[in-house]
Amino acid sequence: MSARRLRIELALLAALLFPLLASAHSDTLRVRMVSADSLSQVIRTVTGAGVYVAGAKEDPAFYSVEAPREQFLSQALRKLQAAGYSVTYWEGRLYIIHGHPLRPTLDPDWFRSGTSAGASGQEALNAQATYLNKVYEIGDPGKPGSGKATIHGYVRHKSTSESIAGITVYDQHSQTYALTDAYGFWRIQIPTGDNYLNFSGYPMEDIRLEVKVFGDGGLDVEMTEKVISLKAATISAESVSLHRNTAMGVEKIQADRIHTIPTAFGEADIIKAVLTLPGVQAIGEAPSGFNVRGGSVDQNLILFNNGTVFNPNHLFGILSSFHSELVSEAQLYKSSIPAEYGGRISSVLEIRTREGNARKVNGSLGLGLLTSRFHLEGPLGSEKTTFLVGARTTYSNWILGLLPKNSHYHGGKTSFQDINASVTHKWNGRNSLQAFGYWSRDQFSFASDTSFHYSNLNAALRWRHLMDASHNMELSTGYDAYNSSFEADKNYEYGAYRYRFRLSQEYLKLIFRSTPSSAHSLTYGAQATLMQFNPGQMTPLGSQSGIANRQLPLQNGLEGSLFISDTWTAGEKFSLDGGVRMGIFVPFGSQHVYAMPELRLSAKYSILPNWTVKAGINSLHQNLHMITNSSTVSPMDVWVMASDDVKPQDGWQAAMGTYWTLGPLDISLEGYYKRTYNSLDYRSGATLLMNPDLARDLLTTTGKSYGAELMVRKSTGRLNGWISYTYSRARLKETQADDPFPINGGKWYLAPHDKPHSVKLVANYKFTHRYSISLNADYSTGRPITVPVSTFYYGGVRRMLYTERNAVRIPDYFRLDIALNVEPGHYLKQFTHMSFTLGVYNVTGRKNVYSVYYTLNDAGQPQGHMVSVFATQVPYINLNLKF
Amino acid sequence: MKKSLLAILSLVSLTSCIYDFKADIEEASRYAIVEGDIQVGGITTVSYTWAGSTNVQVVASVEGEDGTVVTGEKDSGICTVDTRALDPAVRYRLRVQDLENDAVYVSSWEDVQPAPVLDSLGYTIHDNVMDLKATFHSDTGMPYYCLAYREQWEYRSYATTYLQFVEPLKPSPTGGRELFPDPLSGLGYEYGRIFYMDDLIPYHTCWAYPGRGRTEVVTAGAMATNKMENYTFKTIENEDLRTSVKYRVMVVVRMLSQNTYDYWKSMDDVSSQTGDLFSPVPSLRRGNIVNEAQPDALVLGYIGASRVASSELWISAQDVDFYRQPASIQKMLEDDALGKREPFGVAMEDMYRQYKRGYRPWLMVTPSSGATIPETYYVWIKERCLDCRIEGGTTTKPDGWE
Repeated sequence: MSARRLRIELALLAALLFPLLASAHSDTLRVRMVSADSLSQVIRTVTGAGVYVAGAKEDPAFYSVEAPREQFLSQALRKLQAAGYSVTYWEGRLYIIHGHPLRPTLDPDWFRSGTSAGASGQEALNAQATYLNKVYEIGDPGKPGSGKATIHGYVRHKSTSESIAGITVYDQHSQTYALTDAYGFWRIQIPTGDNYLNFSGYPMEDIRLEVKVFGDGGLDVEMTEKVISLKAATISAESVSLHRNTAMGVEKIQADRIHTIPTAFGEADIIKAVLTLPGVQAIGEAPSGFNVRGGSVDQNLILFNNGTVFNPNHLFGILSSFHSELVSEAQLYKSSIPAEYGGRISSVLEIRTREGNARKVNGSLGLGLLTSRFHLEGPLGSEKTTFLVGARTTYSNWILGLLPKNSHYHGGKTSFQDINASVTHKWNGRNSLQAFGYWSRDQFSFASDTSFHYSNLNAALRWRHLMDASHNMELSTGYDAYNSSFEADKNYEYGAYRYRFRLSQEYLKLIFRSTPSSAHSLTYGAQATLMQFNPGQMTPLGSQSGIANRQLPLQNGLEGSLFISDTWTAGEKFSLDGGVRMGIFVPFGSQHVYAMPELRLSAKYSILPNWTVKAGINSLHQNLHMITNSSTVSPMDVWVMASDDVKPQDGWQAAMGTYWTLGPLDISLEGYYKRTYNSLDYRSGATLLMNPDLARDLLTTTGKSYGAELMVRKSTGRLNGWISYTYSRARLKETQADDPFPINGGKWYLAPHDKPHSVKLVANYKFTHRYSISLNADYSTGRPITVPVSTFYYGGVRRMLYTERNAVRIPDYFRLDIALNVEPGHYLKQFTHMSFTLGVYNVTGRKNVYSVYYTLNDAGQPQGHMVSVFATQVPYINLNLKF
Repeated sequence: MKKSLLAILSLVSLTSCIYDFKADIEEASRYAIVEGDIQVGGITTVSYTWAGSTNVQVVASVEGEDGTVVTGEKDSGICTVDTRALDPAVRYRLRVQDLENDAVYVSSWEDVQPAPVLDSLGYTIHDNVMDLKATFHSDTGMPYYCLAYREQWEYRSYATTYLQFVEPLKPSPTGGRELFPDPLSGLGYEYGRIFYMDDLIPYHTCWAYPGRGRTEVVTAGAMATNKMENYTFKTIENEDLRTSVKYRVMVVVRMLSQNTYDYWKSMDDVSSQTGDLFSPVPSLRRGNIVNEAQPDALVLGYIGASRVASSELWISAQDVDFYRQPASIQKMLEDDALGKREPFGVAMEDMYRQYKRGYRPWLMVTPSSGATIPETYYVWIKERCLDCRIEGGTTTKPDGWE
């Protein structure tokens, strides 16, 4: 509008207003050919209300209104609306905006799913919170409640719509805290009214949402990954969890941390990541199992999407059974094991896979020195259904093929394959259904006369249902199987045979979680597991074999349990976790039925917001035993279940700890004492395979372990990681009543995994979001071994005499690894993105002892030999292509 | 299993190495070993070792639950007891008295295991290897067997000769060195002399019979019948001297109780598995013989009672074309023979030097007229090729040798 035109307008306006003011008693108001801006001024004068106008100055149109006073406002607004203005009256002001409507509240159709909260508060209204500068209303504004309301929802990744576990949800107003579960679900009770909910968790960008709570309701949140900022946050999600969570001895490893920990050959591995945690030991360089706080390897329950994995190893422990690209997180319970878990007495390692990208199809292809891997994920038809598949294979046979033909190992084979697949379907915001399957197989054979095979199979179906704001349910069923076999004595055609061992189980598990009040969080449910063992089958191999077909009696058993636990939060400082798990085990055909109550108790007291003390005690039972006559897991091991002759294993653990957060550092100090009973050892010379009277050759032992773990962790910032020192002792003693010559004379002896001192360092430094360097250091005392003290002739053969078990230690273990990680550049239009890792395993080249064996020297005396597998620096490169 | 694991890890990593390990631990020596089995219907042989010594004066006796006592002769380390007349229906135990250390060891009462049937002894040949096989079974008793064998074999030296080198030095009554004079010329031979004998030098035929036999335990528990068919108990390579002339193996098979078998198996486990990560954790099952005065003292051995079946197998090189002379021996006879390819020094001083290096005269070469070196010279080879005793045998023929 020109200056001349403006002066005319103002003159006309004055002319208009004067008559209006002069003739206040007149019934008709009239304006002619005025701009929208001017008309708004008239409206302001007529109504006396605040008027906000936007976009009027650019409007070239003119407006004329003539109407009685009481109708003038409506007529004028109608004229403006007809010209494309939106008119909104809100909190005493009139908003006239050209082109864009003003939305002071969310329209009903803003919400993607759910229904409005009813009078009973039974139905949930799920909002999709993606914008931070909004106020989110939860509940029914028409029926505002008082007191507290239960808010629930899911946290998902913004780009993939996958659930995110381990996100802290924290309400500053009430200082109430919640944590998203493995499925990204959270539930919290907060006062009605205005609140701020903070969502934080590695590696996501923290968000803070303003919510107006009227009653029970839902709020789904999308989070993005922290891309640019590498500044340390003052409080990390881990810190909050450390001081809010009553449980102790719980360690969590996120998927991206798995890839930053250097490993042999650069293969990212979840078990190797677990081994970097305090309190977790392994016997050898490439362990086939791990020991948690002095427990044996069979005392760890390894769950993979609710299914039990009995042998989590490939290539004798160089790699684990889990495809790292598919894993979302792993959680290790070393001490406070929730009541919903049972069946093992030392620890629970729970590994979950992702659900798959719900927005688009993508995948990755990885090439390493030992293996290649592939995965694909994406939506199936819609974002409600996603799939995730992955596969791995190894090609180590080419190495053996390079050996000379006169080599004993030329022509040998060793390989493995594994496949994961899952489909997840979600509907109506209350239900999700996931089908999951996993299969792996290992085989190895050499030019000798024996070949080995073993395989894992897991299949599971899980249904999650949100019953109401305070209750949700999870029903899962599945099938787990482990098969082991070998063919032996192939060169002795009359004695060649094949041996098979198999164990399987079918389970049904029902869990309810509810929040009856802000002070209580209940978990209760039931589980039934039907176990089926084939303890041994031997069949002849070849037409000349004289081996008889033999089948040991099948063993079946039913394990049932009921559990309930409550987290009672009594104020800001004190909380108590109490739980009971009542288990019963019925071995079919046995006269014994084992009923086993288990106690789970832990308490927390926050002395200060950044200083907490915890204590706890657990008792557990285990109806399965792994019988091994070696120091570590091997495919030759057999499992037995409790029966008339074999009692279940029992154990209990008491622990105390104190935790500080000083700036970005979380410091924890935990001490524990653990006892186990009825663990099994075997008589010297016992035949473990195809032994119909195996119980006769087994020895019962008791164990005790104790120790302290000091850990300093930094979770945020450019430099992150942890350093820990663990002092731990583990001892065993034979308690078999009918053994006149017990092991070590019936005295306590060192367990094979007794390592008094252990120091672990895991550090990652991010130069930029693309480049980072990782460092891993591991020191531990050498493990104890049994050595010969003499030789003697017997039966024409010189033999070695061993006396005290585990009386001598091998040299200490130390290893330093370093890796450079290069992430793909963020070129949005590029179809593929390549990341790679360059690293060196065992930087110092220390010849760490893997195994010790003895031969006889020229003088007929025993000569020890230490085998070091990685006796030098091992460089590696690992390529990963994402698309 | 252990080899498989180490192979996988070592070869996959290609970075492994093996080096010595010395454990700081006191060696044990003060323990007794009693080895033997009460052989009902035969001669019981018991060996006793104390603190590594096999020459301890000991006397053994076999006692029966019916009061029978049969005592053997006092001997050093090994003693025998005549148990041919014992009743197999009675249980027996062994008593060993250490006369030097005043210790008495007593075993538990054991049932007499029935004699198995030794069906056959034989051999098969494949890939330059001869497998000795035994077939045995039992119609009664447990499926546990103990197979013991002793070997004897005759062999020849790799070469024969009529030449003998006599050393020049022999003690002189005056304390000096007396030269060996040539009876024809009267000259002395300071560096020795080679004589052409009328007969072959005698150390060309030997017999080997190791004092210790070998014992193995096997079980037919996995077989369809209580029978071990063609069980390979010994493998001989074709370069082994055992089959070069004549070989004899004497096999004794007896049955074991389960406890006896378990003890032997634990011994085998400890011997074959050497204590590494994937081997059975080594420990020794205690036997059934104890020191009467010190029941907790370490005593190794398990004494059973049984009747035995025995047989023997003869393998003659005339019947079986199996033996092959090792390439290393052929090299000694050809490439390493001094004088084989070209005349070797005729000076006695040179020959004496070779004698001191372990060579011996083998062939005498008389050149034809017009040869470069007209004189007679000798071909020398390593003593090992000519003296069969160096391979561990003796020139004494064993008893019963055909």
